Amino acid sequence: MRLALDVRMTIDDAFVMLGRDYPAIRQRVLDDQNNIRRHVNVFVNGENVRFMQGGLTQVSNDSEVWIYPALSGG
Amino acid sequence: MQHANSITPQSGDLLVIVGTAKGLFIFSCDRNRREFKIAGPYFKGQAVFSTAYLPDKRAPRILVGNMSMHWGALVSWSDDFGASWHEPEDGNVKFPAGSGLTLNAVWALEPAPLVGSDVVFAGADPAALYRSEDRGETFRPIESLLNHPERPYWMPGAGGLCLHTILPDPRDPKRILVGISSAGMYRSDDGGESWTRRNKGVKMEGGPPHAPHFGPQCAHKMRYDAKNPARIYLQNHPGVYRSDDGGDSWIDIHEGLPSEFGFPLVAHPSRGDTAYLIPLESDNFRVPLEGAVKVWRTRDAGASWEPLGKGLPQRDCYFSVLRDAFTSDSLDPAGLYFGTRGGQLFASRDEGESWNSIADWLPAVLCLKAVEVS
Repeated sequence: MRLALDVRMTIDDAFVMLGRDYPAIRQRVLDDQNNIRRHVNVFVNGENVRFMQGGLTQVSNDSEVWIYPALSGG
Repeated sequence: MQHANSITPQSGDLLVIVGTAKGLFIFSCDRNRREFKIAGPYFKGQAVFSTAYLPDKRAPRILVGNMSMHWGALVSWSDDFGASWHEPEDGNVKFPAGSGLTLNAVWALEPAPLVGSDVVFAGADPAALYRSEDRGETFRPIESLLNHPERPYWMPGAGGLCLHTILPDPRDPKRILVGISSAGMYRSDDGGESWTRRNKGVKMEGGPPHAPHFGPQCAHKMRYDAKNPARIYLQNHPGVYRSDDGGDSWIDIHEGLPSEFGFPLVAHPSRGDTAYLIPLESDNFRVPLEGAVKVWRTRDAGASWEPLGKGLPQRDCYFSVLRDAFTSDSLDPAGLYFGTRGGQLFASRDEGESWNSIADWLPAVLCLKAVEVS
């Protein structure tokens, strides 16, 4: 899916913005404080945000974002 | 056992709703309670920490507190006995923005018909109480407990900082008692506007005797007596107690039990002075004593206890039963049911005198409810 961004913003804010039309996605990616859930990996342009600025990682209109469940469970 | 993708119970049938670490199962049977059908698993791969049943002639509802390790926790529901489920798009149990807290799991779901016909309370991890006015579809936090001044002293147990037991008073719609691991018990007498701790007389573990009655308090499960609405039984960590004043004070009733440690407690649904426990060896070794499973019963409000084990494993048995994985139905004679962390499900049709296994290979059982379809 495509999310049109007029300005650069953090990935956390992008998910909040996405949540206006897709609340189910936001609910499942972000916790109650709008932080990326512990067992969710988010990649921006191929890089895991855990190893960047976390939820403060910047995204722009041409950023590619992937959401993966972490390899956890039992 | 017959397996079905969905069930169509008749009025008077029994449902045993089983939440496990990997989904929800619904067992159904007629009032004879001899042959069970199993339906499920629903919510595959999700842990189901709590369930509730809202009887309604038009639309009986099964509520579920389900949790995906990846995607978070919700309260979901079915109005057709599991044929379909409503899982809200947006979370319906949420911590307020700025609180710094996020929902781990919904540990308790408790209808409160005396408070309101559509009222359901939910208990959360981290410890918080929520109230629904629409049969569990949406919830709001009870801010007075969320922001309690003693909250900084509450400590998580091994399972988290969980509000696991909600006891609406059977007489007074404004009174409610909750149990928190590890904070002990708190009660509101004004409909949730304010809360005071109710641990007087409960031995505190992990702290000096002169310490105040909060901090490392850990109520495991409380239940009202069926006949005496002021009487409550408590399985604590450790200790077994009884209150005869609605929780104002507690007396020790563990004398006669092989161990003070355990998790679940069930009060007989209709017989007063009667309750059941499943003691474990100790805090450090949480297994049946000497490898033999026994359910212990009191019929005199804790003055004495008797072991019941016919049909239960009596050697080399090392499973445990979690605090919400032991329940009763409301039939006469009462049926009892417990599920284990090893995935077994046991049932008794005769108030605990004898037991048989009705399932052997479920995922770890987290919670049980036995309800009669009206």
